Amino acid sequence: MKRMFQTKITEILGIKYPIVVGTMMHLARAEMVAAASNAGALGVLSSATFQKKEEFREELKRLRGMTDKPFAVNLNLFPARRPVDNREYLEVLFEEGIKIVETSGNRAPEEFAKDLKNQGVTFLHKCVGVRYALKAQSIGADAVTVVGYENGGATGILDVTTLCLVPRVVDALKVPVIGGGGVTDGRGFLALLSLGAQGVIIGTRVLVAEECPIHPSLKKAFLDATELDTMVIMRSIQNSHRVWINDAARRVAELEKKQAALQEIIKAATGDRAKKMFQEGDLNAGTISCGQGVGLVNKIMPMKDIIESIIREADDLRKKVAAL
Amino acid sequence: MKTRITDLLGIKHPILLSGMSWISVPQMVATVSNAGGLGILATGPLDAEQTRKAVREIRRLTDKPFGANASLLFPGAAQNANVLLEEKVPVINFALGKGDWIVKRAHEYAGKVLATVVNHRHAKRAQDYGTDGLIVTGHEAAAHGGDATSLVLIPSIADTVKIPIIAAGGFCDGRGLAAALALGADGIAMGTRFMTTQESRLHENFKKLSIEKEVYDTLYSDRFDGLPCRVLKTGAAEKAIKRGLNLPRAFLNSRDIAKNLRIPYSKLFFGVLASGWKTIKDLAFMANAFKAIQLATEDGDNENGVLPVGQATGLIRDMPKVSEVIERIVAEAEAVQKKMAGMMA
Repeated sequence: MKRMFQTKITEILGIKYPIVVGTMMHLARAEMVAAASNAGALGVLSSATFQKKEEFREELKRLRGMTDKPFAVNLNLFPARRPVDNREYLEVLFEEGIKIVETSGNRAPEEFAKDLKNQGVTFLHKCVGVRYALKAQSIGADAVTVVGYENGGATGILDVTTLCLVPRVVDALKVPVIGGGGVTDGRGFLALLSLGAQGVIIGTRVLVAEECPIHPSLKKAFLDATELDTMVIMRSIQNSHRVWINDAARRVAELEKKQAALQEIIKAATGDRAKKMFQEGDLNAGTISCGQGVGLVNKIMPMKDIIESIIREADDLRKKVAAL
Repeated sequence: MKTRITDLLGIKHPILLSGMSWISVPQMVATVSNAGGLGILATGPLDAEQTRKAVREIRRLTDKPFGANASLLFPGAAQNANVLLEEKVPVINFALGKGDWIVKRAHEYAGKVLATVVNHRHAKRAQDYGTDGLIVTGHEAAAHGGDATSLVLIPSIADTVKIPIIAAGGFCDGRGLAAALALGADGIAMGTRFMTTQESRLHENFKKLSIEKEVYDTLYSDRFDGLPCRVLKTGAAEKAIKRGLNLPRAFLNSRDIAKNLRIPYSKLFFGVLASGWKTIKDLAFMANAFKAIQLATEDGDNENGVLPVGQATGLIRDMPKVSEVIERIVAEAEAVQKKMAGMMA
């Protein structure tokens, strides 16, 4: 396909289409990331998936063997059950000459923003509110990603929907904005660009990509799900996440209602059971991040077809809307 | 800009004024219709006679198409809808109930009917009994949006119905209109934007608040009027939600409602008592909410008034004239298309 939707984001990231395929714990390994980047989007490797520095380095090497296109590495600043030392990952990133870093969390990474800039790394920060976005810009982020209430995974506590959050942040920032939460197809893509975003981030849509390493029965469940089949958990512990509604999610909600201990809630929500779910297809073993956009997801496709269909649909729509 | 909605309703621009109690009054409805949009009269606080008077007043003020709403859950709504049908109101917008009988009778005089919906079940049902169009309301909307946001709900419903869709919830500028059209809608309905205009009857105190408040300055709770409802985050709103249902207060407020709607109080009181606890609770909740909304919109009472607004309140920064709002939205939506065309190499 020819060059379409060229924005500040395609320019600063050196990618073909202004689409970021959001990072996903346990899932955004070399295969997924390479598939996204090879399709013309930006794949984002999840560093927190790797417990040891050397495992992470190995994965980066594997990834480099699979794509020569730009990709990013995510550094997770959220509170985790087993907190990671992002400094260690940073060392590896710099040693390996990684060009794009995405940080995400409840706060901007003030402690190493300077290092990122000094190393010439393009630095994106993902957050959920105007204030956080401004903070990220002030410490030198090259672009800011904001996601709304409907987003799968971290949603923040402000509950502002993508439709209202994105234009508000676009108005407030000088750096380009990548918007997301609820975007799964060409319609959402074009809507976000209309709102002033220079790029979009997708996640739930690629849970059912052929390359996504989750069990087929889980993919099938997502194809059947509607926009009302997700819920926000961990709000009571200031770590709101939107997940697919299953027994595990309901269990977490119960624990929260009973005001159970923090560790107990986190364990139920993020425990090691995710593996059992992803690999063995036990649908109720753990929780999985999932946005309301799951209601619009109805076909398993290769990553390349997903990305290209979004662009094609958006371009057709664009012409149709312009002709009204 | 021509869409299925401008064709269906015979209007110039695909922009509707949502029916807001005490705000979408005849003069406001006519102003929006005269500016090329479609004004929708709010009949919630009116009795049958007042509804008829309001419709006739709108007709004196405009020769353009206009609409009127009927929230079928409200006491007196069916009587009001009957008046709208008798007066052959061009567009009737019903919500919170089954409007098949309205569709049937409106079609007899070539009137159009729009159903306000927040989910697939109601959207499909409305289409099945012949409703002409849908107002699909997302989570970010003022008052009664569901959990699904506009960004997701509009395309999802557009995939399953054939009739035109008006997107509501979170739309207040040309970027929003462009986004709505991209999502598969044929127009937008706006409440929060229109309530802060020069012609709007909303009390100045709340216009000022609406300009100052941010996108996250709303509360969404089922403890205000019994349904999940979004209101402006103020001390009074927080207090009302914390308090929840207050029966003695409802008892007092229901006397006001009876007076407002000119229903003999004994009839309202015993009618409600006979309808069972669930309905008593619903109506009691609503009686209090009604009062609180009136105090905000008409009196500007910051202590006790509560105002339903959408998250778009955080995107509103000025108080233009209605015609300016509409013209600038259309111009901005067109500019968005040009910008988009420029992104193609």
